[in-house]
Amino acid sequence: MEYLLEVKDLKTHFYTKKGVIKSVNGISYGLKRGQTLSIVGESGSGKSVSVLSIMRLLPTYAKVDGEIIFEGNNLLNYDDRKMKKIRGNHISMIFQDPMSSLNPTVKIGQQIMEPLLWHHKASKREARQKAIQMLTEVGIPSAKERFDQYPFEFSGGMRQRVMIAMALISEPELLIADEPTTSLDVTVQAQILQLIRKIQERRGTSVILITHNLAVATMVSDYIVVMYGGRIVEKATTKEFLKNPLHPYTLGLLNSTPILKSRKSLNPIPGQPPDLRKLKDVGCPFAKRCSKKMPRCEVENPPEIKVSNTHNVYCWLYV
Amino acid sequence: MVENYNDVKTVNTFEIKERSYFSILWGRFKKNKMAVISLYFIIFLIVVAIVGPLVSPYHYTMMDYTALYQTPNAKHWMGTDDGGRDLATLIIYGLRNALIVGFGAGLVEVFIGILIGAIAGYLGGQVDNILMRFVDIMFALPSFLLNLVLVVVLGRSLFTILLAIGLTSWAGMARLVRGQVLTVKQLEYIEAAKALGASNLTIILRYVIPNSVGPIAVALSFNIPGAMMMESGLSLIGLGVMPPMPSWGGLIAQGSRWMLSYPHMVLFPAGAFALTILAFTFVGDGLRDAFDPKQSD
Amino acid sequence: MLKYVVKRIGFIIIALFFVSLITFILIKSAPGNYVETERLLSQNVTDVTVPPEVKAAWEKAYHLDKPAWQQFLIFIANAARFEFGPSFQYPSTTIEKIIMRTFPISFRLAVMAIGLALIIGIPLGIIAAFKKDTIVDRIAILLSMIGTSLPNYVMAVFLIYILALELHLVPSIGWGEPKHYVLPVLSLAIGPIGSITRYMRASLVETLNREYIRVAWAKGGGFREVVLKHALRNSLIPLITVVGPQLAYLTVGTVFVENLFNIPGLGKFYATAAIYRDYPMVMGTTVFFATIVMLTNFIVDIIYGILDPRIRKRSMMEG
Repeated sequence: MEYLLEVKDLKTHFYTKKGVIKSVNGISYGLKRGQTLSIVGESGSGKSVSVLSIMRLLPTYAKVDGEIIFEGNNLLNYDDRKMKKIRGNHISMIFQDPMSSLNPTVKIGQQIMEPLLWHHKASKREARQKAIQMLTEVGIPSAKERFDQYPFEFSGGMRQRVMIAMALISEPELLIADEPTTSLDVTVQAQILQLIRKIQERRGTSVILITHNLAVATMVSDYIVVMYGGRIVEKATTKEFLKNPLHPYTLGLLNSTPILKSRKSLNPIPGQPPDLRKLKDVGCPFAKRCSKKMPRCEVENPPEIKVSNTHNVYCWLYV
Repeated sequence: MVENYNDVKTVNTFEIKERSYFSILWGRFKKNKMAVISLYFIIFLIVVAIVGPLVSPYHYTMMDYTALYQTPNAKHWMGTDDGGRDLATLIIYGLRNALIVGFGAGLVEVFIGILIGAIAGYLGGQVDNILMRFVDIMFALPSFLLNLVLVVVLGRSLFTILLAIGLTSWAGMARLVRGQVLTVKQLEYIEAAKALGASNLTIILRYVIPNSVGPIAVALSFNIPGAMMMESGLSLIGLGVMPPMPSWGGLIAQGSRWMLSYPHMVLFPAGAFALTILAFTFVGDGLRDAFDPKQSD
Repeated sequence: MLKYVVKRIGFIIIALFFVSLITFILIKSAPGNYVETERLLSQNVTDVTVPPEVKAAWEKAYHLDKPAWQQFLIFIANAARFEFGPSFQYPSTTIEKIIMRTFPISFRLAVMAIGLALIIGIPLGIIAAFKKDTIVDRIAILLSMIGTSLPNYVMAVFLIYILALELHLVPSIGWGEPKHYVLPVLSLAIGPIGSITRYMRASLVETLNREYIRVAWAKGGGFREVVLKHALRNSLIPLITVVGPQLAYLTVGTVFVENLFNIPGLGKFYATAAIYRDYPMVMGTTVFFATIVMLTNFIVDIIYGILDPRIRKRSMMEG
């Protein structure tokens, strides 16, 4: 089946005064049209950096290597001007904190229209109509009046709805949602996830969802990628993932997440997330915290084990 | 020789603590190289202001009609002015006067600021309200206006100018001290000290003022050059110390009249003045970094 | 908003009353007799005794025949109608006429200086923010620091020397032609240029790190859209609060420059009045300058409130 986005051996390294930080260190995955892919991991796993690399929204001291094939073209070969045409047009992004994601001095409606106007996809009048329509679609009542209001007049959940409207107004092929519900109330979280799901189904948009919450990932996505210390430790369809989780880190995550209706007690993974500055290039990044660690785990990179065509795990246990 | 071992020991630990606090401050201050250079420069200026008049072969009243408008030479390092007076000597006296006014006005300002700020913060209520409204008014006005009126009324000696500047620039200091008082008032050990019967005055002297030393020093390091600029400004427009007593502002005004033919007459005082002001500003920056490392970027 | 405006106007009136009172008391307590001083200083006559009827006429003209409190009330009542009566130096005209004739010159200088400062300071601040921590930035910071710490009359001296004496670009003396404005305006502008540059740099550096700026990049904005439309907008609104006080203080700061360049503005007359102890003129001008400074700050705050939607809308809701 055709991939909308294929990420091949992506490496994002930050060259800071205190040394090189290898936030993303060789990850690969594919996303099919109309599907949702979740990237799951703790903070510092590189999941956010990996999608910011796709958008090329990184500081200048970041170096990105590998291939990002979007609709057949490698985005890493694009210059700034070409990337500008991709951002907010073919690939849109929603960020974690809706409270700070909107410019406080610009009217909501104006901010929603901007992707259309900046990409010359509509006249101001058309854009206005479309924006009001989008506001209605994301469930904001009396959208016409709301159009002329400022962000401070919206609640957190409402603002995230505005962000979704803004991201989808230009009908992008790919929507990247970076922890879109983390800073929201639990009840609002579910509403926002449902909303993303609903709109995605209606429009056939592909979605990359970044989350630290495995339960959220299994609920909404078709495919799950688990990242740890800048690398992928396991990737599989959600079905396979739930039926046959393999990597010790994945198992640990499952055990520490209240998932489905299991009555198992929750066991957090012992130890701390890794310090990316101290992480070595060889060996499994999870080795230090792994309960099934073998001597070779620390000195040799784990092999890619193909469990099925759609299920890979990177671990010496399954050789 | 040591009669009471315990006493000696407590004194020693106290000294160590004190020294380490100042060495921390000094350590932070030292990081700012411009500030350190400027501090040495200011010390140099103070020495010049004290020693200069003693060793100079000239006096600011000494006119020499055989040596008018001289450009810098071996006899007159910075040349002479339209009265044949030695420019270097004039600038040194100008420096002395500027320093006297700067530090003197600073002292007046700190005194009034602490007095008003402490009273307002400590008594609170209606007194605080009235005093702070007054401070607001002082703050809303350019201090130059009242300064000018005060100088007209009080006269134009070095002391009255110093007093006038001090009297018109304490509003910021008062606000600052009041804020410190309000903060300190809430601290628990002040409650304890109060419970133990410490008087208001004791608390202000023992706790509020030591706590405010940092912010006051920083504010002062910006207000001292401010006072010097005010003094020079008044002289510039003809309201400074009475001639022939030299002031930098007066020298600049006088020199600018001869600028087309003898630019040295204005460039030397203006340059000396600019360097002095900048030195104080850099020291102020260094002090701010030292006392409040969070604020600087 | 209305409540705030009324409160501020109340404060200004009270403050002006206090300024008048303090000035009045100070001048009343000054040594020497009004009439004596005027006779001695303004007319350079030292040994002629004034006939008593002339003296009485003078005292009557300046209301000196009435008790002090009445004099004060007369002053306040007249000042409120912008009438300050005749001065000692110029008995044939009134102080308000002198102010009307000379203040526009001072005000024009101040406004031109602020305009120039904005034109130079804003781009300089933007460049410094974008070149943060480079040599360009360091130089901009150092220059703005020198600009803000040195008084305008010292700046004037250096500018005369460089631009007029060394480069022969503009005349150093004279008044009446546009070219005579160059040096005074430049001298006045350098301080505000420093403040504006520093403010713009700090504010932009902070704004550019905001989440909504990243969102704007993610929407496909370029430099024009993101920096000029979003970031700059949020930095420019508070810039008013920096520029306002600058303008207010500059109108008074012209005193020095006018004296140095011999410009017939109000500042020049103010200083001369002070030197010759022209008490009515000193008093009238002091109160006038105080009014201008406070009104400018007041107007600036109102404009700020109107421009910032958060303040405007909230205050409207509060009534």
